[in-house]
Amino acid sequence: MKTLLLKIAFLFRINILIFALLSLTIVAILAYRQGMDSIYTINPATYPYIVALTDSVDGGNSVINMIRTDSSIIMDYELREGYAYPYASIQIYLGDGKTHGKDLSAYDSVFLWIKPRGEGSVRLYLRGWDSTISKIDNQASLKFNELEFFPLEETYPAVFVPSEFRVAGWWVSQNNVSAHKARVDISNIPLIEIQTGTGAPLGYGTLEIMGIRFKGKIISQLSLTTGLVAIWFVTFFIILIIRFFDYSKERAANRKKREELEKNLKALEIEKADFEKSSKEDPLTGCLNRAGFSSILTREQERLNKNGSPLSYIILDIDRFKDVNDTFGHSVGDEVLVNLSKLVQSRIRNTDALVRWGGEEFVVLCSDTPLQNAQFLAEKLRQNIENTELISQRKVTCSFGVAEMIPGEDSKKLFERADKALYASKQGGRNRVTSASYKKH
Amino acid sequence: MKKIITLSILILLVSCAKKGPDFVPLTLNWFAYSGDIFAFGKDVAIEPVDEPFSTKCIIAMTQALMDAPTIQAHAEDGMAFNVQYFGYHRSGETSIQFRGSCQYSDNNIDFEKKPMILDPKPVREGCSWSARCTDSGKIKDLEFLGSIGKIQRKKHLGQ
Repeated sequence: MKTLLLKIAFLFRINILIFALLSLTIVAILAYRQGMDSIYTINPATYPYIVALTDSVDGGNSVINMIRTDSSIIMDYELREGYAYPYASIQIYLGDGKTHGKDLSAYDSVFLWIKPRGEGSVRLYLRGWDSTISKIDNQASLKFNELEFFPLEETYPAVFVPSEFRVAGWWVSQNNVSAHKARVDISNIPLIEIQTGTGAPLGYGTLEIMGIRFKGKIISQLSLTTGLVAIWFVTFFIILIIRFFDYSKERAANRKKREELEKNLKALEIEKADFEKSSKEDPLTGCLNRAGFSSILTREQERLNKNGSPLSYIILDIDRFKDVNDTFGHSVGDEVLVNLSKLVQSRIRNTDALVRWGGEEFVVLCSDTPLQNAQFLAEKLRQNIENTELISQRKVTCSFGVAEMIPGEDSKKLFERADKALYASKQGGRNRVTSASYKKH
Repeated sequence: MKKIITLSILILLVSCAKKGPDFVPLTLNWFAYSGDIFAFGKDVAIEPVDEPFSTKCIIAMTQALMDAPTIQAHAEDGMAFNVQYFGYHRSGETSIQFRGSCQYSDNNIDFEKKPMILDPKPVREGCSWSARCTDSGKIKDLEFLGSIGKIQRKKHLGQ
């Protein structure tokens, strides 16, 4: 079962991968829409780095009293005449409060819970450190990313987006900032300031600040899209690699299979050839047997009938072979057969075929040979056999019958003729050659 | 009607009659003579012949015998010959002389050493013959001694 599952997994692993990728994409999109929020909340009631400030630092007379409650911070102030633009504010320090603040650029909305007890607008400053402009010992050199609003009486928070902020024009002119630098940048905010707004009436006022929250996504939409595209790309790259390796493996496997098949085929062919050879060979002498002879005869007959190429047939029989067997034993008889076949084989042409016809009878099929030449060959063979010591025990001779095939003639008739010629040789005293010439008249 | 039946029976009998053999068994025992040359005449010089020439001549002689009507006439029982041959030189021409005689009359004679004497009137027709093979390998003067109607004895090599 486990193996089956593994096989299925292996078979469908690419589809599984695509399915996983699709699932991941959908989940990522849904998660991005429904969650993946990055929230940074400042609770003034507990946040320690908050200070209250008035225009007294600029030579004004306004006063402020900051009270922490369990859930908020209350800013009681009195704006008095003295400074040109009287104000009261609280400052919330982030990071080291100077050069290394907090990066708020990842947040796409700002929630401010603020409750006024008086008239007038409120300014929210996100003070940014710009190393080319800001100076470490001059807080006023921190960039003034500002927005001004009228807080509501309700408990709902005021919600802003970063694009609503702008850089204060007076700060730009005061610090001689180029247009290129005079852009909202909230990537390093060491200070948040909540201040009474423009034209706040002189006299007492109260602002209760319950909290500030920056809300964004863990990753930006662009990063998410880029990431997903990258994952898709990498996945497809992996699929490509898998396919490539699969293909390579498959090719290697196929090659191996093909090689094995070829090897088997070769072995089979060799086996077949061996089998064919052995089925057509006489095991004792190595000559052709009748089965081997018939295929050669058919071929030669076709040549004869087609081209008129003469075909002769010599049949030879060992004289008194039975005596050899009876006197010296069958092993000596076998020796005669083997030596005789070797001798005859060495004396005939490559185009001739030596066949052990059975017992002590052999046949030489002489292709492209007329009768008189075959008779001459037979005579030579007869002399060779007579003059060769095939066995030490006694002299061995052979009788021969020779015949030539007539085009279209049945091979049986040819054999009969040759056999009768052989019989004539035997009758005539053995060790001689008799041809069966075709009667013309 | 009777005639037709008789004729049909005759045709049937003729067609079913046993045919004689359609081939001639011919046995040839070859002897390359290397004996006394004077046995064949003093004007003849024995000339050793090379094997290709003798082979060509033996094959041609075999064919000539196979084709000879005298031999073909013996289809029933065939013929068997001892054939003696030797090369000789006469009048600037090298030839091979063949002589053949039926085996039964010359049994146990070694014709490689002993000259063959042909019976001019053999008991069996075609049993004595002689022929000559020219240097071009052609068989000339094939003569069967004692053949009826073919007494064309030529004075040839002592015969």
